[in-house]
Order: sequence, then structure tokens, then C-alpha cells
Amino acid sequence: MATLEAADLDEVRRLLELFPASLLKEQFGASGDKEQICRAAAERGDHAQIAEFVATNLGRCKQHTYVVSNSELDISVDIAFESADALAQDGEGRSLFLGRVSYTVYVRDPFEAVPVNFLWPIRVEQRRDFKVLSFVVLERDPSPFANRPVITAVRHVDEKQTVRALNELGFFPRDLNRGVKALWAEDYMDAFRTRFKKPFSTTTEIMDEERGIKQNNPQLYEEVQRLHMFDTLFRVHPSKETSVKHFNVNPTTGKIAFTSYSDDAGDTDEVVRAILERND
Amino acid sequence: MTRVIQMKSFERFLSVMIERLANLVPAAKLRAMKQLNPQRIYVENVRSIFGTPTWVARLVCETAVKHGIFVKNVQILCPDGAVAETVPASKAIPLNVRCWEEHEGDLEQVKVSTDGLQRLEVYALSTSVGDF
Repeated sequence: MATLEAADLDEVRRLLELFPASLLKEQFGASGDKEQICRAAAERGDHAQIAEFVATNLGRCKQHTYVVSNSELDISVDIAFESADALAQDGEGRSLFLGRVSYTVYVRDPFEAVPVNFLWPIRVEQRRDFKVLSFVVLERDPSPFANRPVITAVRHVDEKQTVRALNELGFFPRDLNRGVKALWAEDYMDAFRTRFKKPFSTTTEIMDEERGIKQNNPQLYEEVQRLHMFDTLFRVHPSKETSVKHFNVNPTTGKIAFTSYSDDAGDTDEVVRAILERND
Repeated sequence: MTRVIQMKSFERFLSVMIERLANLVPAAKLRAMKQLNPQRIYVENVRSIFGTPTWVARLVCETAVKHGIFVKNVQILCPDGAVAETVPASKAIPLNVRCWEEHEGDLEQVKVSTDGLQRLEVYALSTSVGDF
């Protein structure tokens, strides 16, 4: 918990702001807007409470999940997480790490380079033959945190670099084509945007009015089922009891992206679990 | 261009077209018309099949609308070209539509003003013409 304990007030506040406002109100019982609730919780300084809150509710955040193989090297996956240390374990035995991402925001009036830091929650789930890594999606534009007119902002560590480092350390992407296609065949979801590999080209198909491919173009669906799929946007069938309405998956690189908050921490986990159960 | 005659079905309409145009347009192009989706006929489909200027193809489609054979719709395109919505040409265009934008590799849903978005005409066989 060293990273959390060493964090300043603003860093802790920004950490809490990664979570949905409704959840923050419910947990910390404060009034006001999201920033006010987070500031009040950060000022209380109860790191144990914050650690447990983050561990329990990470599944509700916007996140990128990567499924990677175990490395043949005798190393722990968190070696690739720069400036991170273990924060907690959640109720399912998954390990939560907290890293730090630094931005330099170049502002004017007067010209200055302002450092803006974010605490970065990363969850690791160890399975027998692979790992499931979930990275919470951080603020894309740190400019509002600099409080002055911004020229540009530079991020020093990002998710892409971390994933690249993981790959170089032998934690290779796990192909999810089988699991995704099996779930699609069961009508758990339908795709309305997809990219796929044909023999001599890569094709992008975007359905009009977000229509599902399987429902509206069965011929295309059958074709895609036989090909390597890349970035594909799926809509979960409305009959499924989940707050996850849509998710983006690149089955060939093992990445699943949830770009909206969910109402229950288990909802995003359920999508990942459903894919993995059908993948092996 | 031939005078468009009101027909009971798309096939009968095409049959007349084929008969009238048989000496003017190769049979292969007329067969291509049969493969069009009757609910989604674009001006470019007609233009490319008949090899005419665009204005002629549009005139054919508009004439079919006037005679109750086609209905005209307008598709509103998102900045990336995806069709956000299709509305009847007789109805008002909505003020906003939902589109998907890419931000650092993630596709996120956003509300976009239709002001300035590209529109595309699309025609469909009128249901009053009969089943196809």
C-alpha cells in the first residue's frame, strides 16, 4: 500500500474519480458533485477503506482487459507495472496493484511544465495457463487538472508501453477467437462493427444503424466466423441481465475493452468469464 | 429514357424495364438490377447498372417516387461514414444522432449534431406496390 500512502490529496481524489458518481455517493455518503465527494473522501485519509473500495469495485470502471499467457521466465507480471505495488486482494483472490502515471502539462501565463500524476489501478487474475489483466482507463486529457491554459500534455507511461513490455517479457497475447465466436453463436451478443482478415486484405464492416451482423447478414456472419477477427464492437442482447450494453474486443490480440461504467462490479467480469470458458 | 409505368411488383417493373431496354442495355446489366435489394436502392446502383450520368439515374428514381413505385428516404451519416439513422424524406431530420468516435484506440458512443453531417438518398420499393 506504499503507493497509496505516499500519494498526495489530489492523486487520491483522482483515483476515486475513476469510479461512477453514484457508487461514490453510496460508499462515502458525502454530498456535492463528484469532485467534492472524492475530495472529502481523500481528505479523510482512510487508506484501508479506499484500498478495499478500489479492490471491490474495480469491475465497475471503464477498463481494458488483456488475456496473456504465462511467461516461461520465472518472473512476476507486475515487474512490467512501473512504480506499482500491491494494494489489496479482492474477494475472488485477484491481486490489485496501484501504479503511478505521470503527465507533464505545458501551460502558459507564465510558461511552465506542470507535473500531474494519476494513481493507476491494475488487477491481475491468475488462471492455470494464463493471466487476466485489467487496466482501469485513465483520464485521457490531464489539461483540466493544470488549472491554466494548456499548450500540450505528455504522458510518460501508458498502457500500450506496459502491454508491450509484458509481451517482451514473454506474457504473450492469448487468442480469444474461439471463445468470442462461441459466445456470438449462442446469441449472447451481436456485432455491428468488425474488422477481419481475408486472404489478401483486411476488411472493415460497419452495419447501418448499428444492426447486428448475425441477425441482418447471416452470410457475412458465417464468413467472419471462419476468419481472424480484429477490433469488433458487440452489443449484448437486451435479454441478458447485465448492465454491460456493449464492449469492444480484439480476439486476435486478446484485448477486451469496456468503455462505459457498469452498475455491478461482476457484470464486466461475467463477459470476460463467458468468453474464457468457451475459449479452451 | 423510357416512360415509367406503375406496376404491381418489383419483378413486373423490372420485366418491363428489361423488355423496353433490351435493345439499349446489355442483358448482364439488367440482370444486375434484379440483384438489388428492393429496400435499399441507391442512385449509384442505378447509375452504374445503366451507365448513365448521375442526374439521369436520379431522375429515374425520382420518377419512380412520383408514380408511387419507390419511396424516398434520407440516411444520416456519421463522420466516419456509418449510417446513424434512416428517415423518410418527408419527415424532419433529427437534431442529433448517435455515432461512435475513436479515442486512443477505444470506440466511444457520442451524440452528434446532424448539422453538417453528410446525407445520402436511398430509395425503397413502395409497400403499396405489392410483395416482392
